[in-house]
Amino acid sequence: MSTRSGIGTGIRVAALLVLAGLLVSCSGAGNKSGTDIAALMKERKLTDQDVVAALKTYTPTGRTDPYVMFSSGGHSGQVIVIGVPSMRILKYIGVFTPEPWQGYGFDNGTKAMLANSSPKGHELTWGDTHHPALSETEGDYDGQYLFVNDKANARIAVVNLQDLVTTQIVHSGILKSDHGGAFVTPNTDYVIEGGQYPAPLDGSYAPLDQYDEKYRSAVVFWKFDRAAGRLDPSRSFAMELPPYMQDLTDVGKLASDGWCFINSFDTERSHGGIQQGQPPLESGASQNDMDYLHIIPWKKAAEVAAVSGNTRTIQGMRVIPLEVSLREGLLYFVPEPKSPHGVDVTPDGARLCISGKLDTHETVYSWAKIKSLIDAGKFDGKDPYGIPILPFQDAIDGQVELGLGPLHTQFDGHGYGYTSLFIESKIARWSLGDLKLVDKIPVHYNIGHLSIAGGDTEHPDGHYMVAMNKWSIDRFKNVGPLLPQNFQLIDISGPTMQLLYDMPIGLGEPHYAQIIKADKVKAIEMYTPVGTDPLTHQEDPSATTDEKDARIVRNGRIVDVYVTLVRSHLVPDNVTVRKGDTVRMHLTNLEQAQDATHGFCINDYDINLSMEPGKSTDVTFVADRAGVFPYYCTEFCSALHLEMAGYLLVRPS
Amino acid sequence: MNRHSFIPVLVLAAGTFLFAYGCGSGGSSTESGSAGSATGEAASPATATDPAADRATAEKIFETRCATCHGKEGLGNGPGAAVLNPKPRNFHDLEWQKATSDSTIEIAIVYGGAAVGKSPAMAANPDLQAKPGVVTALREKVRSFGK
Repeated sequence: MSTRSGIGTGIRVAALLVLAGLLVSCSGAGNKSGTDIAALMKERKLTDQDVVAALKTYTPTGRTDPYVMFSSGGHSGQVIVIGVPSMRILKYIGVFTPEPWQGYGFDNGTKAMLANSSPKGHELTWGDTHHPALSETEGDYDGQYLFVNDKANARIAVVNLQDLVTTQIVHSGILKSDHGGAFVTPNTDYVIEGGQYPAPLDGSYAPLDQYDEKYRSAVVFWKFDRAAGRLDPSRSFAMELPPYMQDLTDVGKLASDGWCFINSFDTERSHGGIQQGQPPLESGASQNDMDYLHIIPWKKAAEVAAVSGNTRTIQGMRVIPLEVSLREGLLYFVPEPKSPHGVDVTPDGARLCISGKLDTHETVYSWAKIKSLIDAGKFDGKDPYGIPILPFQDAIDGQVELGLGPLHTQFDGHGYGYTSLFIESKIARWSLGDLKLVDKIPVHYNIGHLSIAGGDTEHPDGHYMVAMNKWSIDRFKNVGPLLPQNFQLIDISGPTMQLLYDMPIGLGEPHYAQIIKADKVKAIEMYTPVGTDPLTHQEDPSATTDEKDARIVRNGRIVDVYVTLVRSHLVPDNVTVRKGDTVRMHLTNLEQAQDATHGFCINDYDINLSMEPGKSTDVTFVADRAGVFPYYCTEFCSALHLEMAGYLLVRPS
Repeated sequence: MNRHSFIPVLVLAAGTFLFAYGCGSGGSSTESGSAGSATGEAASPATATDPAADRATAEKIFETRCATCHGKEGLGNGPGAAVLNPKPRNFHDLEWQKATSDSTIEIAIVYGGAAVGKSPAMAANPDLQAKPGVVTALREKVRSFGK
């Protein structure tokens, strides 16, 4: 891994040209359109910087990337897996949205997972994925799990990084939206989900003129059972929060371990009503110069929640009421300017960096100062709900003037913070030591989050940074009014930041991503032994591990079909049922060859499964239409792939 | 694709494979003869392979890819073999071992059964085109059942 290098671009290009010359002379077959790099540069109008960028990102066939980025997929409800620095898309992971390639939301297990996290009787078919969070051990990514939130429907999903498959979705019911998730504690004891738009926590109706009294927000602490790979609702708890719009969360580490931080806007409690003469939310929520950073000792809160009588159960979730939080010292505020957005804890846990969307500064708070103010009980008054407010000036180390529209900060492990500037469309690099702006780089355009390799951990890797730009306007071939987002890869290893690569994202608006060293993600090559259920990683009792056991079992109106798949046939390949029968298909891919994935679709019945090597899964349907329905393998598995087919015959009853 | 043109195309591909073997850069250590490819004496350092590593890779590939139909013991009775017609080759068949050349086995491994006029149900292994040492070790594995 290169570090800050003093070698100039010119020298590198000169070296490249010498190398190119050598290649040409050695091969004796050089030509201008083939290996003459200077001619190629001229033909393609490439600068020295462009060539350096290409050399830093081009990845020959067969080579893999040193880093992997897990990006939220925005409205797609998916997670996107991308190699860095090549920026090659490796996978889309179905999370909140049915995804046919993976059979996600089609087999019984994943279909039930999506249905059970939806309001009863109203299956949700999308999600607004925002903030992926890799599981951590001692404050660094451990490559075992990924959590991601659905802001629109307040859900949190668990993705198992053994196979990069979603295995659980939880929904507390008390939140209506959860911009403040998912964020993990340093050992992933808890996954934190902060709410955004307040509403009655019990899901009931209340008119807006009862906003102050009946509307509330909350933060949910989901207990993660690492051995089971699951969030455990029975050991999870929440804290009631005042009806402000909580925004982002970050979790303390090292010096600030045991605490978490949630910023907020709309402490004015504006809630629209334009046509009733009220200010629109965008101005109503922007009247105050300061909103409140919420400071919460989550470890202590967990202890308080464990004592009976300290919580109220709302929609099945144990909630610590505000009055208990005040009594037990679980909630403090410190003012934060202006229309705050990101809160980001420095790698040493000693400082909190807060951006204000309408402020030109990054405000750097000292954790030591905040803690001593809390310990000394030194408050500047209380908010209308009785929450103590720490004095702003006594809590900060200083402010850095960065530019217009600061949003989010990440760290490189070399003493710098990097803050996205939305309005200015730039990233600012600034020094944590003396709180001075060092450098800025333009990005294209309207940057939201940024992500540095390991950039929110105790030990950032640095080197690569990705700007997650909302607008791309003039960057790509126009594809109509709906434009892709633009991920821009930036090399931050040198004394100046260098833009390396533009990557259009044409599926949803990704919000945030985390970048992990590739060798930390140790994914399996196939499901072993044959007959493994991906949702449990246990052997599926209904698997068929030898095709001589493939069979059809009729029991009244229920027909169990035990299906095996191997290149290139399905057994059984003729299945006859009666109209009205409930057909339960139990499928097993007998293959143990890597990449020998089969698919399984049935005409007209809206079924498509993905059968990776060794996988076992089930699909149940009612054969409610008589007729002839071909089924076939939907993965091009062999030369005789088209022959991997069969017939479902539904006799009229 | 027209089924009748299928096998000739594969045979052509197999010819290319043989050509690639015969003209492989840097040496003769990977040709399909029975003289043993493990000596590596003629190979330049850049193309030398590690026979032990190749054998380990071949063992894993046999277990994961081949055994599904040919069975772990090479008896042609793997879990994916029950309905195949013709049945997968039983590698313990000494007559077949005697009648079949090393190159036929290796071409079948890389390009599938159709390439040697056998069952097209035997799939190709395209990633092995660039790994002649592994193919040799797989062929040796197949041969080991006939000893």
